[in-house]
Amino acid sequence: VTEPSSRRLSPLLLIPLAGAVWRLLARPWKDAWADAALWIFLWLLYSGWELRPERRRAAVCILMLALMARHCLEQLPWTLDMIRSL
Amino acid sequence: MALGALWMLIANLGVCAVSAALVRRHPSGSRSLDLVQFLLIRMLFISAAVGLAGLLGLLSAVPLGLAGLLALAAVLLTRAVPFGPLRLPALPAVPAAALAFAGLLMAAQVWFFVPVIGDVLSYHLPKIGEWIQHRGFTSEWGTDPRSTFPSGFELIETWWVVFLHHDVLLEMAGAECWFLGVASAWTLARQVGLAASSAALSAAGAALTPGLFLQATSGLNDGAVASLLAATTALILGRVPWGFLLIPVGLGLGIKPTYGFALPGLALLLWLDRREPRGMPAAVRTGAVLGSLALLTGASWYLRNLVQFGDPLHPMGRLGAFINEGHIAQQVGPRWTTLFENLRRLFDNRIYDREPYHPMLDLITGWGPFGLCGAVGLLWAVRERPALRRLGWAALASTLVTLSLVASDAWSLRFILFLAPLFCVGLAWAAEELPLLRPLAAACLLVQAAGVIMPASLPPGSLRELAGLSWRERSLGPYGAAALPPDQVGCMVGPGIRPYSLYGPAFERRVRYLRQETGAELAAELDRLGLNGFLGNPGGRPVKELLALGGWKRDVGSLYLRTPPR
Repeated sequence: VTEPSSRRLSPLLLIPLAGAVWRLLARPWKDAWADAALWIFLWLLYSGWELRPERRRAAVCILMLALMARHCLEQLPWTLDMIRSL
Repeated sequence: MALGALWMLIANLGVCAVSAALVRRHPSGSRSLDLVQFLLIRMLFISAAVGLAGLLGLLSAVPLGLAGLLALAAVLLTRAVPFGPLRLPALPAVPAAALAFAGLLMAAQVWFFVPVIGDVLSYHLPKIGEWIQHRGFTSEWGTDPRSTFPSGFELIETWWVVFLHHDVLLEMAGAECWFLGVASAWTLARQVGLAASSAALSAAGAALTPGLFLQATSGLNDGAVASLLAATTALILGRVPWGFLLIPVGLGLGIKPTYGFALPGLALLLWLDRREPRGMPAAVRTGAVLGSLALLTGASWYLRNLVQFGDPLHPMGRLGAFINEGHIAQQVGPRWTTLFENLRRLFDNRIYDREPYHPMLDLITGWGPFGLCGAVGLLWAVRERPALRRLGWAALASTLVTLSLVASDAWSLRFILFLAPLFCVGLAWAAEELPLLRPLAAACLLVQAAGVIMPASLPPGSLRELAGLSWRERSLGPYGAAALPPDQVGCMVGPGIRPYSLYGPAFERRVRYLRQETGAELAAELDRLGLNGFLGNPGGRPVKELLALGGWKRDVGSLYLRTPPR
């Protein structure tokens, strides 16, 4: 019988983690946080860690909120320009 | 014009009646899937009718209107369609408001917008100008070598201009395809087990997806391909008979070969879904007829190229299509470097839509925040729902194959726009699982609604200018009606020349394509044709020599006028 704490993680799961590190190192933090969050989320989601359902849901909420905020901040100047031009 | 509008109404009623009759005769068991099939069959009949009329030289309002009248009479006489009040499902407030806004905005953009995108003016629409003026297909390929690419989308556009002999409703072709994408997003959500209210949210997300919306009203065909891929997915999940499944395949391949890039993923989905029970009874004869017609319609462009140029993918050649020197606009065959470069660009910044919403999706994905959050939702969902897991694997396969086949440039991610409806299903699923996400989904819809009001392709202030023009003369650009000779104008073959604006919104001006190499030859040809104006490359040898000979002056942009006019 294998102890739950000694369960082996697949080396493939290091790929999302490496992705997160790459994103964080590749450019200034302000541009990279959403990318890194996505990769870390992927890692959490597929790493085999049995996150409790409410924590997984909280992770999804936080990530989506972050992505939407990032997207809106990117589009805001163009949207304001467009509204002014109408 | 009024008579043309009447023929247009009759023809549309006829094609709708026949399509509805066929769907009624072979129901799928799902109302939303029936709607998708209805839209596909309608699109097929329109494409086939315009294609046949073009071949026979009957491309005008009366023959197509009469065909529609016959179809309508046949359906009425056989009572194949129950005409009755339309029952709309009760929708939650947010998706209902978003869908209503999207529908109204789409109608307004169809009415007020004019084509302005370079590719559209350069090689999509000039064909339609020639077809309408000659009442059939011609062998004039215009100025851009890409004119010989498959023209399935142009068939649908022709349907919307041939009756009025005017391009005011040209964007209806894109609107039809957009509606197909919206209906497919709804259907996919229902097929993976979501409630009707969640399906409505998915459809609303698709309706306001910037890439799908703005492609529809700009005359581009990538949105149409994305919608057809979403519809194909819905048909696979609906387990429709083979013949019906071939309808979007034939139409999609006839619109753009990039549709075929996603087919490996769809084949995988078909295989993964093989043990699911059949969704609708086999309709062998009807399916065979419709499927064959769709394949014939789609394959006709490749057959024509094979016969005329000896290559079904002309002008691709062995290396790809070169538009500007050194830049491969379309590559041939898969490449690892292309795949990795496209993926890097996707995750590097384009996934966040950091540039304004342009219909060509310059440096963006065009998924909007709804699609981006939906991608996360889909990743979550594939762990929980087997149906969505299969969908996820298929989407991944289609994405990887497509990105390995399209040259990595500023616009390459428009070829994976088909992911947007799937992501909309993902966010709808997440919002159903976690009601806390519903306000977030509503906020995403609001942001996207603001984002699609005006595409970045139109210059600031142009909406006011367009709205101020009568619909009969509505057009933008440097070649306004006042500057151009009224009856005919020349157009030199060369890079950067966009001839569609020359035809005029009512196709009132003949365009003579000029292929001379020297100024003397050009002068002789202009005299022979009696032209008072032409569009030419200012840096080109023939134009320079012609100006040196005298009698011509440069007007606006690359327009040259005879002085004095004859």
